[in-house]
Order: sequence, then C-alpha cells, then structure tokens
Amino acid sequence: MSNLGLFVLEVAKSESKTVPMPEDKAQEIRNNLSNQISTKIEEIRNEQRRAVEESLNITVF
Amino acid sequence: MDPRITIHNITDYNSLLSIVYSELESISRRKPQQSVDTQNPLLKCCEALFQAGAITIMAQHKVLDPDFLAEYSSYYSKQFNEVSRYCTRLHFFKESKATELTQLEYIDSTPPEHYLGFITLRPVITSPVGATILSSEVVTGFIRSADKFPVHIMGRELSVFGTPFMQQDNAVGACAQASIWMALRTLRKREGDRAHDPAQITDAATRYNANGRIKPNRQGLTQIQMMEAIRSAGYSPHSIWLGQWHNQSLDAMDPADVQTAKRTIHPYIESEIPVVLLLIHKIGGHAVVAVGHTWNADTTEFQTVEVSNSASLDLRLVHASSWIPDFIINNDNSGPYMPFPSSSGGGTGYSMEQMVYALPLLPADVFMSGEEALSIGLTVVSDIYEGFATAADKEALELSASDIAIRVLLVEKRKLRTWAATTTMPKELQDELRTMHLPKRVWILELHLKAVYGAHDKENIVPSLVAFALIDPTGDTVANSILMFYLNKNYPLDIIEVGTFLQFQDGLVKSGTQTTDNTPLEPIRGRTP
Repeated sequence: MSNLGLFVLEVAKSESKTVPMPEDKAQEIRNNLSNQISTKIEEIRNEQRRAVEESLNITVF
Repeated sequence: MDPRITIHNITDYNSLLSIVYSELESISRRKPQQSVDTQNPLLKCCEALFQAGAITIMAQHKVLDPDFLAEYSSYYSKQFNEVSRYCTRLHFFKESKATELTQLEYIDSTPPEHYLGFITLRPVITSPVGATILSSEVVTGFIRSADKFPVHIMGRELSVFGTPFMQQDNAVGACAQASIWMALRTLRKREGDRAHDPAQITDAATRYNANGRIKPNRQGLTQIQMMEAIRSAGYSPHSIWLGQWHNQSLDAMDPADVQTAKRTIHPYIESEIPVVLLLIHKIGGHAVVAVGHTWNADTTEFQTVEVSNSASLDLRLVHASSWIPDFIINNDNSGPYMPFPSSSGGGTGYSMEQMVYALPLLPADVFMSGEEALSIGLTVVSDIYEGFATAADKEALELSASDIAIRVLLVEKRKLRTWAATTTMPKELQDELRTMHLPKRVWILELHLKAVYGAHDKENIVPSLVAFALIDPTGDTVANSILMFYLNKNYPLDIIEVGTFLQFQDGLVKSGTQTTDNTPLEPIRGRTP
C-alpha cells in the first residue's frame, strides 16, 4: 500500500487548503507505485510480445 | 451561366438517384447498370443523404480532384482507352430548395448549416466514389474521428464536419489503401498535413516488400505493408493482435473475446483516433476504419474491469464500452458511417468477431498505449481505495466502485485547457488545469457516475465526472507518468467532505489541495462541428 488514499483523507480533514507532502513520504509512495505499475506494464508488454509471435501475416484486399 | 455547375431539385429518393446516375453516366460514358456490384457505396451515400433531408444537388463538373489526379497520373493515363482526368463533385443541401434560383443566387442565399457534404464521382464506373465527405449528422451515434473541412463553391466558403470516405479503386489500391487514406485524411488538418493519395500509399507500402505487381494492385497489402505505409506518413501504428481465434481454426471470435477487444479499441476511438481494423471475412481479408460508435443509453449489460488491490476488496468498475452496441466504420466496399456490430449473427455482414488486427494511428510522440494508461490509472485508483479502506466499510467501498463507469482517452493539452476554462468546476482545479506544466497530450482515466453516464447522448452533456487521473503519454519510466489525480466530493462514497486534487512532479506527490465542488463535472466532449 502506498497511502495515496490516506493522504487524500488527510487533505480532506486538514484545516489548510493545501497540504504539502513530505519528501520522504513522496519518495516512498513513488517507489511503491513504481513497483506495482512496473509489474503490470511488464505483463501487458509480455502479452503483446507473445501476441506478435503468434500473429499471422494476412493480406487484405 | 457556365454549365460547369448545375443545380437539381430532389423530389423523392428515385429522383436523387436518377440525378446521381445521370451524372455518373455522363462522366464515365458507361451505364451504371454495367457495374451493379460496385454501386453499394454510392447507394449508401445516397440513402444517407436522402434520409438526412437532402432536397437539392449542386453538381460541379470538370473537377480536378487531387486524389483522382494522382490515380490518373499513376495508372489511367497509361491506358490505351481514354479515361477522363476530370471528376464531378455533387454537393448536397437540405431545407433550401433550389426552385427557380440560379446557381449563384442559390449558393449565396443558402444558410451554411444546410450543407450536408459532397460526393466526388470518378469517371470510373467500377469504382465511382472518390474523395467524399458526408456530414456526421447523416448518421445517428457518435462520429468521433472526424474534422471540419472547408468547401469552396463559386466564391462561397462552406464547411462539412465528417470523416473522409473513398471506395477502393482497384487499379491503384485495394481496401487496405482506401482505409489508410480515410484514416490519414481525417487526421490531416489536426496533425499537420501528413496525408498521402492512394497511389502514394501503395508506393510507401510496397517500398521494401512487394508481394506482386504494384499496378494494378489487385493483390492487396499485408498488415506489415500497411504499417509501413502508416509509419511513412509520420504516424505510429500501434499493432494490436486480436486473431487468436483464427490461430485456433475457429470461424469467428468468441463473444467474450469480442467484448475484451472492444474495451481495448474503445480508448482510441474516444480519443478521435481512426482505428484501421483488419478482418478475416468468409470471402477473405478485408480492412475498414472505425470512426465512432452507436449509443445505448439504457444498457443493462455492463462490462466490468477488475481493480486488483492489497486490501482484499472486490473492486469492479464498469467500462464505458458497455453503452456502445456497435462501432461505426467507414467500409470502402459498403459505404461511410456503417454500423459494425459485435456479431453478424452467422450472416455475411462484417462484424467485430472477424477482427484480427487493430491499428490505431497514434501520433508519433505518444509512447504509451491506451492499455498501459488504463493500467497506470487503475493502480492509482486501487491505491486510493486501499487508503479509504482504513476509514470506510468494506462493503460500502465495493458498492461505490460498482457505481462507477470508467473511460480512457487521449486529449490534446489545448483541448484540456479549453475544457477547464469553459466548464463549471472548482476554481482551484480550474486554475491548476489551465496553468500546470503539461505535455502536448495527456491520457485521462475518467471516473463517472454510472447512473447518469448513459444520459450523454448526441445532444446532451451531463455532469457525471467525479474523478480523473492525468497521465503523461510520453512517459517511459511509468511511475513518473502520473501528472494529477482529482477526486470530487460527490464520489459515491460519503467519507470525505471536500474534493481533492493531488499534484505530481516527476512522479512525486507534491501536495494535495482541497476543492469546493458541489456537483460532478461535465466531462470533455469530443470534437464538435
């Protein structure tokens, strides 16, 4: 969990209009998101690579 | 008056057809009945125009149409029998009757909104429909991939909003060239005049790999040659393979796979990007261009997208393709704006179950696909839900997800900013969208209220947008691609009192800002006439 949702709740409950995110927290969120996203994107790209291997050469006319 | 331009009154459909056939016979020096099999696109154009209320035709003779001139130069000029260089262009008007007016009196007095577009007749009886643009109003449903094209008649400038259409001229190209031409010509103005004529498309496609004679091009093109032609015009053809069914020796795609393919193609159509679809039909390979979609406001068959998460929540969002029964295609051998259903029901028509490739013409600077943008956006949504799971009931969260419809689309920066400037939204959000640093285009994952999403018909835009993520389509390090996330207070979950948007920089959350929103927002609408 990278806590974006928790931060949204924190902003919503804050007395301040704008709430900055501490640098270390932002880094942690980015790393967690990066791990999740990279895995999913790699799955998509692997699937596309497999599809290219299986694909046929077709002629349209 | 110069007979270069003639004017004709339409009294009924037969009179319209009679005028069109008379012009065709005059230019081709052949009876249209001589080639009944190739008249379908012309007949479909005529039917659509008549249904849209066409009552006057203005015929422009001796037109030097640049696309036909290229075909002429490449092929017909070398024939022993004489073929004219000239085309005839038929302009159609609704409401304004010609009666006894002269051509000039008519064109000067007709309101521009009465113009329905034009058909260019080639002097070739076997493929009479040359470059043609019919107004998108001749069809129900959404024509997404279209543009506004200026038309000049006797010193009067009119315009037509629609998608260019052309019948294949078997001499210089097949359906492959016609579909690429239609896609390129649609994007020409938007993306900067990169459009080839059919002869140039054939040359570009066969530059490195020819599988037979180039002229006449009766063998068609392979998908590799088509991609080369698209690439050479400056676009990035994203090749999506959908033909697993054909590898398994099935007659057609499985219905569940059709829905998956539809969800994959949908973001490109919503992005106003023409999608060349390669089909394997009973009679052989064929290519068409998807340019829009029909709409069922009252759908009950919802296609869902599962959102994986680490909070053990069963999150299923409804995909926007649920409201779309058919795509709308330009099919060079049957006509413009044709319905393209999920299944042909065992008949001989074209349908999605025959798809083997989808080739959206992505701009060359879009590196991220729609599939990747959706995955990135949903990861953010998943993360938001995981945080909310600490403050809300699990069932309420799952229920709230099922009340959400999602749409993914690629939007130009200027259009996003115009939307922000002209749409009622919290000032904080509006200011940020208008001033923040953005790439030329962004992918948007939109979250809408499912209950009202169907009310977005051709005439109405309703406030349904409750959240969105902006994603950089040029991003390579994917986690750095998130630019902004916005969540409306009216999100169907009553645990926050204000709206919020998160600003990102280099993938790092900079800050969160409260917004004073009371209602959902009206979403970005497609390109309009």
